[in-house]
Amino acid sequence: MKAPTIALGALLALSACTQNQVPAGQLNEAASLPPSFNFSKLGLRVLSTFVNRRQATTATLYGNDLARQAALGSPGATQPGEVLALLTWQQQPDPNWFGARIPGALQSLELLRTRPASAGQPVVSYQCFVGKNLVLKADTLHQHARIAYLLAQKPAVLP
Amino acid sequence: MSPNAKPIRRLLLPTGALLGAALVGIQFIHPPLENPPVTGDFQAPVAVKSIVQRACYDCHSNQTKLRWFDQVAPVYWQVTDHVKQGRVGLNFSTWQSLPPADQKAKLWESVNQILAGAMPLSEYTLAHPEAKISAQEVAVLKQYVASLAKNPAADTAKLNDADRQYRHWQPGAAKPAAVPVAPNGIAYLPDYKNWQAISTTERFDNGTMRVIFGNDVAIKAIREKHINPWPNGTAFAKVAWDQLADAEGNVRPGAFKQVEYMLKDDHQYAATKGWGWARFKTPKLVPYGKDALFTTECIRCHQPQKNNDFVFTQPLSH
Repeated sequence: MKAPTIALGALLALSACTQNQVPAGQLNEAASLPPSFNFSKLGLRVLSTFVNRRQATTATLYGNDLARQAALGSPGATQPGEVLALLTWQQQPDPNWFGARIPGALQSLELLRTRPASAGQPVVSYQCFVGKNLVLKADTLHQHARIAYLLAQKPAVLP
Repeated sequence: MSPNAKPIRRLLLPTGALLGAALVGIQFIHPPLENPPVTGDFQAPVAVKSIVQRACYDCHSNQTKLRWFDQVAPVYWQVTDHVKQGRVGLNFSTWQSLPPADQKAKLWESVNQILAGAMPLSEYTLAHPEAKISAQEVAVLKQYVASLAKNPAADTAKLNDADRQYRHWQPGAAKPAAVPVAPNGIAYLPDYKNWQAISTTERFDNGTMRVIFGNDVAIKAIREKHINPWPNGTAFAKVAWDQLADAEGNVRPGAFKQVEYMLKDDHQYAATKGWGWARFKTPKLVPYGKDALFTTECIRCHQPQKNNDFVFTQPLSH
């Protein structure tokens, strides 16, 4: 009980000097996507949002209509033509609200597409773009786990 | 020097006398400022409470202590106005009548108002320098509110809430019979779901997570970097959910709490800082506020962002 309190106190003392208002009228440049990537052209809608407290990351899940329908349906309802995108950022303290964390440096964009297959399950393609400039990652390690993760997410309630 | 100098000097004395008489006269216009009984005083560790008492209690409690210079009209009129408004927004003397969640929210909001330099009011500290809050004292307050924030792994009640809501939620299907309308006339806009996300927030002060959506006008303004002021026609929707955390610290959205709108039109909404404000709570989209005056609450909280067109969100471009 005591140790976390002291640690928290020390952390706050350190962060006390960094509490500054964002200069008016500025964008969150660190978190912004490179314009050349043209993310908005994918025409996706927000499906959900996540935080990983251990890694101090925050993510937003996007999908097209087919992906949304599939996510709302029963698991394994994958159909051809789905597009899912997960944007992940390192978190930073919200300079305008003590008590909040907002996206900081852009970490990755994961893009999943399903195509028709000749037989059975649709073919799933997965790409991961990393860093401020969203460079395509050649490494395919953990791809299967990431595909399973993305396809397992449920949309957040948006009435 | 000028031919008019003499008549002006001749006027000076009677004008001064008249002003003096007026100043004495207005002292009789002295509406009383009562100190109603303290029904449930704010409780906190001594270090915290002494700062709050010294810096906030003159306007935010029923224990207002006016100095002699506060009692002189016309200053007195302004002081009584500040105290009356201050007590409406936040009153530490009736603190125990607030539900615990509201108490916490008020404290976080107060610390943020102090951090932004909006409180204590500069015209107040000018005459009452002892009410100023030092950087060290701000750190004490920050540490205190942070100690109130607990974000444990989701319990069964929270999980059940989220599950029940999700089962009843049929996107595109069950629409409410009538479109909900806030007391200031702003209607719920279902289309926000098709707008683009301009940011997200993890609120560890109140255990929620949020997505902020912007309409096409907002997205164009972001692309062109013309966001202060935001152009007329800009619309934001901020959606809040409960946080559902697992033992590994993975957090996903749980029960939907509310959707809040800010609609920019500096003519139509001139009386409310150029923005139309609205909040709809729970999946039933219950409009927030007893009457149109609920917007004073919105504006008071957004006031520290007045140089940023009252917008907290620092948008990112996609």
